[in-house]
Amino acid sequence: MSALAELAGRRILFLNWRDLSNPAAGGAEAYAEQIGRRFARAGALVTLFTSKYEGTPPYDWANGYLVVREGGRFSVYLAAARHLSRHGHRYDAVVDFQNGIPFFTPLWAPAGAPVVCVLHHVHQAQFDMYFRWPVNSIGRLLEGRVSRRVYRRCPLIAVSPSTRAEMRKQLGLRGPIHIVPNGIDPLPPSRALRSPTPAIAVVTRLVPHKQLHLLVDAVPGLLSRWPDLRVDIAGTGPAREALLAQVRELGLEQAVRLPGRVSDQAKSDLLSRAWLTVAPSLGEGWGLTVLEANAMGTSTVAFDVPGLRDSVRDQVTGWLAPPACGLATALMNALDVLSHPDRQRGMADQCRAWAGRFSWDASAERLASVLLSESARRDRGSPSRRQDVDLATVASWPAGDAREVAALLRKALRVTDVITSSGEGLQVLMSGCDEVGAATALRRVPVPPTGLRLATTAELLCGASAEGMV
Amino acid sequence: MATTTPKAALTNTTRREPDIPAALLRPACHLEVLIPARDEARRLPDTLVHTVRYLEKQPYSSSVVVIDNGSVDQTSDLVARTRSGRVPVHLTGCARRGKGAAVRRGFLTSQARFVGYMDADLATPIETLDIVVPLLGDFWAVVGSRHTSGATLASRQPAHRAVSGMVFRAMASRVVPGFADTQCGFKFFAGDLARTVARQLRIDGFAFDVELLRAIIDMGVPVKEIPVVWSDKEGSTLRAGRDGGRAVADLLRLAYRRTA
Repeated sequence: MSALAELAGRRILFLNWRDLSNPAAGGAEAYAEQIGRRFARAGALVTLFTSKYEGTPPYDWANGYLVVREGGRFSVYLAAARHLSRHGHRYDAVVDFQNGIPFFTPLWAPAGAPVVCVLHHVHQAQFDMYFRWPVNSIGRLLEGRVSRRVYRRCPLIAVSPSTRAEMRKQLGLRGPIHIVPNGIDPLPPSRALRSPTPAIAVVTRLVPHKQLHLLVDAVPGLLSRWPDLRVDIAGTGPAREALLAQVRELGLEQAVRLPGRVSDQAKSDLLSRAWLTVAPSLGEGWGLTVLEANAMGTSTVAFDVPGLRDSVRDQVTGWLAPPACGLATALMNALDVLSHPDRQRGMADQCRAWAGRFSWDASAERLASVLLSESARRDRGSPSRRQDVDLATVASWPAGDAREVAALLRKALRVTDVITSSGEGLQVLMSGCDEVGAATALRRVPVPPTGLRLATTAELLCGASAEGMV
Repeated sequence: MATTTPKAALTNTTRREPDIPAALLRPACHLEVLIPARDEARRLPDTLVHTVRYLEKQPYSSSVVVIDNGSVDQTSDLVARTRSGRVPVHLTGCARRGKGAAVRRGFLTSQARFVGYMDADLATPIETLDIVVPLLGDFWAVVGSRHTSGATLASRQPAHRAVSGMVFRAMASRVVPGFADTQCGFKFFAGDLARTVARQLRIDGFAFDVELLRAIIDMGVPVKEIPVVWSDKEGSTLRAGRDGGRAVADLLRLAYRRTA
């Protein structure tokens, strides 16, 4: 039985500072919404507690779950604490989505109810960008030292290995951190064919930290080698005016277009026409735009920074350039490779396969499994025998043994272990153990695995057979 | 009561090194270089390139083994990206924290004729193997030393590390007399010796070097201490307060075990 199915009938509270009806909603809200909707579909009774926004009703019913809105941008945290202490007994489990300022759910949640906390991004550096003293220092303290104490006993969830690394390094969190990646929303099928001449398309929110001015800067150099290059930078945002001015200043009106906000259909067409998308960002929690382009068979040039180094697989679905080196060189090299039709086709296949490995269904299942394992751990009252270590091991069996092994495996595994089967056989991603630990855990399985090795980033994100697709 | 309590029995079994399945042993070769690494993604690529390039030029067969000691920075991806024709680069994990635990895991999964370890930051240049490998014919263990005559500290150590190092050396010399420097991370051994000794070792932290040398002296095999060049690199994972305290506690325990 899947972990999702086991959630049927359980009353689960989601806490997020915003919901999708808020105009400032972003990727984090989409994540909560997609997971909540799937929990509800599996039969769980989901309530989303969030802040009020002008014009929104205090109660709402959407996608199969109840939305409760109370409090504003800052008072939502107090309102959530009040809600939990008054009505906490009505919930069997809490999923706490942390967005800079934590809800401190473990302090208010009913005794015995499992609490898991999801982090998209570590905000320590951003407090200084948006707030002045003392608010910035208080924010850092709450996100860092205070939440380290409060969430000490909770399983945490990071959306990518980079976010997990930041949680360890910047926040000093020590407990187990699971990885539950973002899924992907399918775009409408494209009506455009791949452009015969080089084309670059970016569809994103135009904000300063995405550094798209670096792309515009690189265009004159690229034009001297590729005179018919076209660059589309779609989307709106505070950085759009500056980009338009920069294009005029460099006299690039012919080559660079900024069409503004585009429909999903136009986005799909733009991305599938292009050879490349570019992400010269300072850092992300995860590269959603990269995966959207990948789904259209379009590869990426990005800086080797947190988030993007997880979503772009260097030399397979794109290229990672060190942030210190110029973007122009990396783009030149990428266009050179993609100008060979065979290479372009090969990379397009890799990109589609990579994007195809992410789905909200799989993510919801993984989050459900973390919730289940925590609730089982609380019932059992003992910690797991595997350690709180960020190593994960992939165990594999050849296709011949797969059927026999699959039936026996579940008893030896944790709920959070991810089983994938493909044409090459059966593979299991076991987190929190090294190869010897995995062999020990699997000693009761009569058919020993033929392969045991540490997992790579791709495998951590989307199960064990990711490496086989190369 | 003479019987051990169930709890004590349990701790004993969990402390023991688990049996390594044969499938996890690496293929045999002449020399295996272990590099214990925890969150070394920044420094490891250069080290791997240097080490592999050096070993490729040597007449003997060799391999490099990175032991991921619970990194969160995806050290595993770096190893997968380093490819070499002649010198295989292996990756193995060690969930138990500590350089001692990592080196022990490396010894026990090795089938090489000679095996040894070095620091992930190449504090001692890999060319030191020019001296070490010929000596391994006559000696069962060749250990680098920063404090015998002929050794060079290429860059000066910060004062607090120099002083705490002196205190530690004074204490360590009570346990392993005759060694000028127990802590240099450049030690090579006959493979059989390393594998035998590894089963007796218990210390996971930085004092494991002392325990290892003590165990080797007790075996009564010939050991050679050689001077090495050593440079203090930035970004050391050693934290004086916590790790130092643990190392001193481990040393005292070791000294006590000797007298008891």
